Amino acid sequence: MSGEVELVIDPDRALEHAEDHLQAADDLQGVLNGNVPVAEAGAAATVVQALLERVMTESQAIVDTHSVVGGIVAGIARDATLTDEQVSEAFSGFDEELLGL
Amino acid sequence: MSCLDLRIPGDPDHVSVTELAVWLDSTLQAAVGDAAQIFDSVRDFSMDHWQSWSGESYRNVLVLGRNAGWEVEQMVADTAEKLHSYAGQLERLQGHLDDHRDAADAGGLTVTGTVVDAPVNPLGYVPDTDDPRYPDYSEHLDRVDLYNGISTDVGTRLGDLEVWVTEHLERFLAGLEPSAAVRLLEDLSADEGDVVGLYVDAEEARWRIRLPELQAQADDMRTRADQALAQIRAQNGQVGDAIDQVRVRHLGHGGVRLQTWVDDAAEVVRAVPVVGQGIGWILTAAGLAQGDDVGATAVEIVVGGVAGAAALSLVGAAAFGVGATIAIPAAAVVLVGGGAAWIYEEAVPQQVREEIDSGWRDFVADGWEWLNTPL
Repeated sequence: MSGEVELVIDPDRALEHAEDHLQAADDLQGVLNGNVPVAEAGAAATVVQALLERVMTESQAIVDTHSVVGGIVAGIARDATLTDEQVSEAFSGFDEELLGL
Repeated sequence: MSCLDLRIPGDPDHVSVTELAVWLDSTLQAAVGDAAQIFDSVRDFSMDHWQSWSGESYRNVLVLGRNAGWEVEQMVADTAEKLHSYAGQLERLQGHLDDHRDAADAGGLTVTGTVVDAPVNPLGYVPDTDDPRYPDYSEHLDRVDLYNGISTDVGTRLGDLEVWVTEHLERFLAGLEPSAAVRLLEDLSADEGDVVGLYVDAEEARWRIRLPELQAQADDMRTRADQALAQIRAQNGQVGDAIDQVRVRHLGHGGVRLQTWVDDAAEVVRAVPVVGQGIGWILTAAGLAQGDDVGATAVEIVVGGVAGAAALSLVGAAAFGVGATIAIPAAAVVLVGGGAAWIYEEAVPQQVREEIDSGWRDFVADGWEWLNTPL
């Protein structure tokens, strides 16, 4: 198609990026899945448990973000037919919602 | 017969609360910080081989991820500080209860373990002042005064703890905003659910499997604490009266509402089988928080008193070295006013501030330890 911009990346290095994302996700996931101390919080037990779940859910969102971004980057690195525009589109879900682009 | 159990209701262990706080501010906070750093380092490395529009789009996402990581890292740190503070509250309260037990024993009250029995008139009647056994009765009245004083103080302190939990834990939870990472995944799930489903394996988050068990444990702990408190109230009306006075003075009906919110949030969590969808309850909690008009009294740091002097000492020490604090005149403490209160709250961790408020004895031990911690 005329007007298409060629995607210029080093696929091997892009795969390294993907690996970095997935490793970061694994590392943080390991901490979340590890031994979390149980607090005998008495009258505040319910709210302490809710706070713990809150920060763990937020941390899990970081894990999942790394997983999603890593997965997308790996897919891009392995597909030599993609154009620059198509790859930009792959990240648009992130950009549009939170960057207002 | 009236009696008083000088244990924290539900017997919460401040050591285990501290352990959780330490796990948060060391292990989890560091892990989240590392994950945020990876976004940054990948961004730097991508610049020399991935240009054009798509490269910029990728790097925009990496900045989002890094910022979200920093947000969560701060949230974990703030939560840890709250739990450290709660552990300090429990430790100090139990210390006061222990002191009361010693005073009760020294004052002639019958103490069995942690339980203090109400004094009983040894005469079985009220003597006239010229009665030869009146001195015995007078000693009994002293014991009654001691018992009543202890009961009222215990009730006030239990009420204060309840207020503290509402003001500092429940209010903190209700005020937490969802991080950018949570909003991002929520948006992606809504708009492009297949993208999230493709790359996120929900079963990897095995910590979610334990949630129902942990929630049940928490419910059980709270129930036991509530039952223990109800028993104390039943055994000693003065304790209950003092607790109620503190409640009305500080919480009114707002405290009840906040607790209800926490219960609601916990109910939502229970209803969510997969935590990938647990994002929803966070948004629910945040939405509840927006209606926050709680009439509870905020904890204010009074500049000019012990706390104010300590504030400037701490800030001065942090800025100029410990020796410089000696030169700060007392008048300056008053003149600095609200600005000092702000600096105080910004510069001094909550746990240390509370220890300062609780008295110089705790401050000397823990405040100096904080000062000697590298900034």
